[in-house]
Amino acid sequence: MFALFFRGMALYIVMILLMRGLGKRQLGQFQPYEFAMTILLADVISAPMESVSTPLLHGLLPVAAMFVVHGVITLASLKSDRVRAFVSGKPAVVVSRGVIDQRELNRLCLSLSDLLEGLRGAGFLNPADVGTAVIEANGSISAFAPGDGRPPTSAEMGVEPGYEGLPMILVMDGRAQAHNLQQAGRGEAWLAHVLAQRGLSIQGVYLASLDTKGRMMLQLRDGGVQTFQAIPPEQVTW
Amino acid sequence: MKRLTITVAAVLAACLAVCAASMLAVNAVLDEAHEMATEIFVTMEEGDVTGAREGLIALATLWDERSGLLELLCEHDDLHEVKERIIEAEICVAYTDMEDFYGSVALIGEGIEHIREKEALTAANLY
Repeated sequence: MFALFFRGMALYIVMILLMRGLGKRQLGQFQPYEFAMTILLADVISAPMESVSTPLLHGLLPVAAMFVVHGVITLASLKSDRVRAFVSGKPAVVVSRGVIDQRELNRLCLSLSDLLEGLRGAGFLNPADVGTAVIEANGSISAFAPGDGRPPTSAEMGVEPGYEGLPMILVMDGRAQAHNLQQAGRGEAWLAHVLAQRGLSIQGVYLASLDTKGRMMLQLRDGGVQTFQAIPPEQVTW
Repeated sequence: MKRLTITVAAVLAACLAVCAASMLAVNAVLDEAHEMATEIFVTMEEGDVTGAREGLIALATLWDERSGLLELLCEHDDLHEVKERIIEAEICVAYTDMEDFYGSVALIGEGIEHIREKEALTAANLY
């Protein structure tokens, strides 16, 4: 029993390491060869997990072999368009200029209801609102409104919104984030000083972020929220 | 991409090393065990029952000593099968049951060969 318990733990850790090794793409966007690998992995790893008479290596080696093949296919796909097209397929345009391409749908063995379902998933209730739709290589549908059916951008409206970048998280759960403070060109002493001016301490803040306009947002442990200008926008360096 | 290339190469090298080491280690133990089983057979053919019994004890000791390594690399059921046949042969010698003794020794050899064949990189194991 102990052996089964520890085998389960060991193989689970191996799976976590493997999934990390496969990269972030694996989590949300399966390419066909990644999908095949994930199905196989679950089967291969379960055999030594549930049977003590099967050596652990009999599970680990096939997993390592699949990792190698997956890595080689990934590298080959990055290097060669032909390989990528072969193992992952190509995106296919199924709606162009607002017209559904029936021949392409038939070629992909997709029914009209599959397309409509995908369009609803992409946020289009009415297929007449779609200008272009693409079946991506991983099977998902990307859909876009025609030029005259989408909201205007700030550039089209002649509005200068200014730079909008990633806000720096400076405090998480009462702990100052030294790396982010350093990236923002500030230190913990500066943060403590800013908070002290408002009668607060770092420990009393649940979440603090500094956006690229120089505004700091504080969510306090007692639930209160404060927003104020912490630094001039021209001092934002990230 | 460079990191992935290095990782894939490292995992591939580690896999090949483990496979080669496994094959060498398993074959070394199996060769030794097979040789001992053959000797036991010949010793009994020459009418030396004491020699055959001592040979079986030596074989059982070898199998027990190396089982730690073999269990890492081979199916435990296959190893247990050989161990069972060794014990069977020991009982046959103790009760001078020669007919079953030869059968048990033959099955020891068969069990050893079965493990070897499963470990071997042959076309039969690939398809």
